[in-house]
Order: sequence, then C-alpha cells, then structure tokens
Amino acid sequence: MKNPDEHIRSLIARKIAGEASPEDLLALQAWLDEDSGNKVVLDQFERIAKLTSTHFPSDGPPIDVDVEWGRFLKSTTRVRRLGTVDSGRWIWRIAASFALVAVAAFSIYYFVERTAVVRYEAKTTTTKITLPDGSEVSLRKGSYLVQAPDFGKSNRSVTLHGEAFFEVKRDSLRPFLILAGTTTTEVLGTSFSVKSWDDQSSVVVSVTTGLVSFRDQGTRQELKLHAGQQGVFVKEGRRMGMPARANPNQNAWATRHIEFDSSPLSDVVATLNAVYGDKVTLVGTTPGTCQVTVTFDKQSLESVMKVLEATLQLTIRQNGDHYEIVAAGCK
Amino acid sequence: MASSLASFEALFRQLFKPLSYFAMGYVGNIDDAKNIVHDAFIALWDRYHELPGDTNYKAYLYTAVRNRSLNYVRDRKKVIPLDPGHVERPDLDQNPMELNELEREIAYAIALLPERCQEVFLLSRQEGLKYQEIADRLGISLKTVEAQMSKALGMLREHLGEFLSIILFLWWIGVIW
Repeated sequence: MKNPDEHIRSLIARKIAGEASPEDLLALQAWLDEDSGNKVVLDQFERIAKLTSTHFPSDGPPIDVDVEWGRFLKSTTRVRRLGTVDSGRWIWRIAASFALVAVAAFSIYYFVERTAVVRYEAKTTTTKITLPDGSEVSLRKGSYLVQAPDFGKSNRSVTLHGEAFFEVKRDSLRPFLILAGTTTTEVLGTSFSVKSWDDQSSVVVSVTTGLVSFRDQGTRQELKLHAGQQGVFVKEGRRMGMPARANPNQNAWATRHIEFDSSPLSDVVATLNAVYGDKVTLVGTTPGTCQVTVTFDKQSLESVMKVLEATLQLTIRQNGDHYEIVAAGCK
Repeated sequence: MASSLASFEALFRQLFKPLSYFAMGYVGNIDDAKNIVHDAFIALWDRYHELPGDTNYKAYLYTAVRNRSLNYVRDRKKVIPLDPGHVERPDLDQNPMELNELEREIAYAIALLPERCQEVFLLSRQEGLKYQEIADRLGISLKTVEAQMSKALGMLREHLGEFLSIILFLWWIGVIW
C-alpha cells in the first residue's frame, strides 16, 4: 500500500478538507490523468475521510476515572505483595508457608516504605503537610496530592488535584515537579501556588517568591514566572499566558498576607471570605468612595475587621464569628 | 524514572476512558471492557521502568487492549454452550459484521496517530474546522496543519490497507456512502 508523494497527498488532503483552490483541483486532475490507478487511490482516501467523519470512538456509558484509578492502585498493591511460591512436596510446603509469610512481610515493608504511593487529602479544611524533603504544602479543602514513589530520593515529584500553596526547600540537584492536568510546574526552591481543579477551565500558577517554570506537556509551551506573576493555562484550546495584572491575593488563603490597593469594599469582602472561609456578608450597596489601601500580614479576621471598621466608618453586626456589614460611612 | 507514578497516573487518566470504549467495541459490554483495560495498565506498570523513555505508550496500550480483546472474544466463543433452543442469530437490521469490524479498525488507526496529528485530523473531520481555524485553535502554523493532515491521511491509508477493499466493497453495495 504505497502512498502517493507528499505533494499529491497534501492536494488530496486539501480537497477532502474543502480547502482546495481551483489550481489545486487542476493539479489533482492532471495527476489522475497520468494513471488510471490513481483514481482508485483517490477513492480510497475519500472513503477513509468519509468514514472518519462520522465515527466517534470516544463515547459510551459513564466511567468515573477517579474510581478506576483507585482500583488500579489497589490491584497493583496486591500484585506486588503476593510473591508466587512454587511448592512441590509437603515438606517444602511448610517451609514455603514460612517463606511466604516472610516474603509478604518484606513486600509490605518494601512496598509501604519504598515505593509507597502516599496520597494526602484535605477533606474538610485547609491542611498543612510537610513532605519528606522538608518542603511544606498547604492543601486547600477538597484537594489531594499524590507523592511519587521514592520521593526525596530519586525525584521530587507530586501530582496535584485541586489547589495548593508550596514552600519548596531548595535542592538544586533535584528539581521539584508538580504535575497538574497536562501541565508541569518546575522549581528549585521558592513559594507559589498551583490551582488545578478538574471542573475548572484553567490551571493557574501564582508565584510569591523565586522563579518558577510552568509548562504544558502537550503543546510544549513554557512560561518563566517571577515573584508576583501569574501564569494561566486554558485547557480548552491549550493556550498559556500571563494576565496583565495578577491578583496579589491569589495565595492569601495560605500565606494570610493580604494586600488591598484602592480596592472597592465588595472586593475586600470577597477576598476575606476566600481567606477566612465565608464569614463576612455585605448587606446592600456601598458608596463608590469605599476604597481600601492596606496590607494585613497574618492577622486574625477579628483584627482585620477592627481596622476596616475604623478606617471606613463601618457599622458591623457581629453574630458569633460571623460579621455583617450593614452600613458604610466612607468619607 | 523521575516521577514515574505521577506520569503513569496522567497516562491512566488520559487514556482509561477512550481505551474502555475502544475495548467495548470488541467485547460488547463495559464491565469486561474495563477489566481488559485494567489488565493492560497493570501489565504496562510492571514493565514501565524497563521500557525506553521514548516509548509510544498510547500505541502500546491500544495494541495491548486490542490483542486482549481479541483473545477474550476468541476464548468466549469456545465456551458458549450451544443450546439449540437459543441460537444467537445475527440481527440483519443491525450493522453487518464487517462494518463493526471496520469501525473498530478505524478507531484503532485513529488512536495510533501521533497526538498532534490526531488532534488536527479530528478537528478537520469531526468538527469541520477550516485549516486556518485549526491553526488558530491549536496555536500552530497553517503549514503545520497542512503537513499533519496529509500525514494523518497517509498513515490511515497505510494502516487500513487490507480493509480498504472492504470499505470500497461496502460502498459499492450501498451499505455506507
């Protein structure tokens, strides 16, 4: 099944895609006239094209890939734990059963200690974890992080689902890699966050300190991100870019460092809710003059609210740990 | 070697679904299809560290799943009890056997295309996009789109070799058009 040369193939491809110019069609006709067998070849290409336009191989009953991946992890664990012991005579069976226990014990040790798949999950609240290399990770509620086998020995790789803020211990020999969707984020030692929720349209990396390399494996695009910068990868269309103005409070949920620069009160409330967990409500509208320029570093919500109350002449109704802003003077 | 489990998980998440639907084309039900795909992934995981770094895992998995599915169908055929009261007759209203087989072969041939090539080809064939639109969508040059399209067609024709006569035959008798 020899294919026609590149030039003819691209003419055929153009014809099939509806891109052929009159000149292309003439050239194709000239090729057809050369040899009666060429018509058969063209027919074959057109049949293939026709069939491939209607048959989607990628549909069927719903499949939960998370569940299947869990099943895979379970079955590989079992496969690794069971050593096959071939026993012929009964004497050997006794010896073998001892050996089997030993093998099982060793395998469990081996598997758990050496190639264990460690999975960290933040089920109900943001959780701070320390990885074996000393790097610290704040894992946002609903996220999970899978640590590669031999993490800290042959590699420093993790897979992230959800959102996490990393403070990576410096190690110039072993770069720290975060796989999220089709993207890879690589650093030597720095702090930044990766946001990669399965149900969101993009992956966002926000750098607090240092330098980060943010890449997409599929398209081989790469962004070098410095402190204060943000990289966005849009899954649909696989585009990578940097927003002109990065949100300075992107990592505030983890760092508790909040900066407002002429921010309207509604933005302030939204940020506080993201950082402290939906504890502030803004009732009604506030005057446009209600703008705030202030920096908070690791403050409690209570002291943040006190500062805002004084600077903006707010009227606040407090109900347990919940704050309701009912009026704003804003002179 | 670095990040082996992480990269394996990415591969699993990317291909588990399409492979399952692909296997279903052979074995006919989703549970057996999923089991076959699981077995293929487990077998791959056992060899994952030994395989050269430039292995085309996608082609590897599609081929493994296809072979396992064919074996499954073959083994099943042997054990089906021939109950004279309940002989399965091919339903003539359904697609003829050859067409199912052809669909599977096409799915397989498309799955084996290199990733970029496949992407370009499917955007053209199944979404009907123009070359320029594909170039914009994928952020690549018009020239690359052209080259990938003609590469895809060439590879499909090579792969589908022996099936092409069936394609033409079915076309002549009017089953497909």
